[in-house]
Amino acid sequence: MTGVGLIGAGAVVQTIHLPTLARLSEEFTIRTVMDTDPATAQAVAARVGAQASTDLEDVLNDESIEVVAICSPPEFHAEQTVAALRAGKRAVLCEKPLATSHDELRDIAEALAETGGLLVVGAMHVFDPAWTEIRPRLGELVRSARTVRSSIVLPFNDRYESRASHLLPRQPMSMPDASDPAVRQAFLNAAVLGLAVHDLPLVHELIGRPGTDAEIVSAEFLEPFGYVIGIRAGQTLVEVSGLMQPHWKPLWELEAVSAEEVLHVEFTPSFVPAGSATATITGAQGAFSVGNRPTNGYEAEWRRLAQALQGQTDAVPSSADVLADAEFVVHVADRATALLGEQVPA
Amino acid sequence: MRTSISVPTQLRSVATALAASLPDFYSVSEPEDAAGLVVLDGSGNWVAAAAEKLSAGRHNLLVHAPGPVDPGEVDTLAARTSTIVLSEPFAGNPVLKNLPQDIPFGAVSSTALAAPETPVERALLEQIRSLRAAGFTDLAVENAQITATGALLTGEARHEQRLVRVRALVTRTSAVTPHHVLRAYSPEHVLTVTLPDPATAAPGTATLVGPDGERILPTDYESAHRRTWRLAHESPREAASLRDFADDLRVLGSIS
Repeated sequence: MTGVGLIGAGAVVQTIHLPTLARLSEEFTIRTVMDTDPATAQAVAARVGAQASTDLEDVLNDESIEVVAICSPPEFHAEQTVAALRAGKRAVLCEKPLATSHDELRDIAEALAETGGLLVVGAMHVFDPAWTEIRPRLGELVRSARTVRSSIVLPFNDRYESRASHLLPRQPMSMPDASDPAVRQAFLNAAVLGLAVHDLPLVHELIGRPGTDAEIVSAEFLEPFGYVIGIRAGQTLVEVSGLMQPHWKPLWELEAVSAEEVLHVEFTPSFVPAGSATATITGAQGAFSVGNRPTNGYEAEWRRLAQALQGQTDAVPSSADVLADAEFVVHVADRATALLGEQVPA
Repeated sequence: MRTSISVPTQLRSVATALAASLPDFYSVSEPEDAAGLVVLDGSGNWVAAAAEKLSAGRHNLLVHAPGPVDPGEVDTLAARTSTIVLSEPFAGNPVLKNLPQDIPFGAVSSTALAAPETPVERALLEQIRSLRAAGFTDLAVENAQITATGALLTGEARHEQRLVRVRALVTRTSAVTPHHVLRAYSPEHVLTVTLPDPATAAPGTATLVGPDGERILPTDYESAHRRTWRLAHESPREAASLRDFADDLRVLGSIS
């Protein structure tokens, strides 16, 4: 059984990783839960019979921990990923986003090259069983898509979190004034790195992985929390939009249209184990659908990490693809944020 | 009273089918002189054709699927007559007439999948027209990306007295039948409208998701063209405005 150390013990760990790892108890066991808040670390660790710590070094120095899951706030992801790799861990599962800057990604690339460690980014839709099944059938949709559309319309997270686990009390968040242009830029950046990031690796694959050559042509912030970003990659037009608001119905879609085929994917919401997406390719020959599987991307990412640790390295995306997708995410976040800033009257 | 209609050769099968579904209202006739309604093909310079018919004393005109033309010429035409009916493939869908107008929408997105032979410019016009029919008017485009096979727009429109952010995506493909999907967002509601292939009577659908659940708005199995033809006989005053059409052509002109 593979020992796991969790870095950060907030809502994502409580609602996603703990229940998921509980279903995979023959593969993984949680050894240590580390959080900078000692009460949180102890409470979460007690739920799974693990050790609690407030010190990252306790996880890095524990040889019984082979896999480190980094679930801390995004600004710490890169630094902690590098530290875990350099500590000799076999694998790092880093929650999205992998990094917030190109410099951070260079550091991670160096650490990967030097250590040969395994890196998985917890972008759940990359691992969604429906996406995994439909990928080999994408054919001409990859690189020849004329338009790609990622649309996420979701209720706020608390609607799902409370149905996934008993959450520990959190500090109430104060909402900054969204009429402040700087706040809107910060929100847009956070929305890309926190929400759009779920599907940007899929979008990136569909448009042929142009990386930073993709041109960000428009960007706007939507209230109360959302974004619309236009991207042009050669002759392919991409619309990436997201909106969180207090309604009940999740509408989470990815669509790619080529001359002769349409890919349409409908994803289930985050946090709750609501099964996989459904993915359909429609063309002249009719429609082909996959999905409606009982597991979602969260469980699949851990299962495939287990397979990779057993030697099946192609069970997870290559480091090159992981880094390229993360570069694309940072590029979209940076350029969209800058573009929004340019639209602000002086 | 049954109206005899004259149609150009290329629209004969379409018009015959439409007239057959409205047998008490229309019959396809020859020659044009005997016709009570003259149908024009909107794929060419229909404004010039309409002006010619007006000059020839033919005042009851219906333009089938009007495409992009010079907006100034449409203005001129509008100044001459108010009896021209525009039969539009998506904007005429009956579902658009039953949409709630009292919801404070802040954003709307529109996705249009067009047939491969449909020029992007025409597909965009049809999309702008369906947005207007849904109540999103006075579109001002801020960013437009146009390729040979698609378009991506962002901008602002007006819904009731409110400014609304707009984004629109167009793609030409043979994979699926042409259709539009509009989705409008307010702080508490999401309205999704689908406008099906106008060649069929598949119904447009409208679904409103709000705090209290989800409501499917009334559905009508009538194509946009049949509805327009029916109303042209029953209540011609409900015909789409030529001046609004000219305004939408100017929006299109600002992009392409």
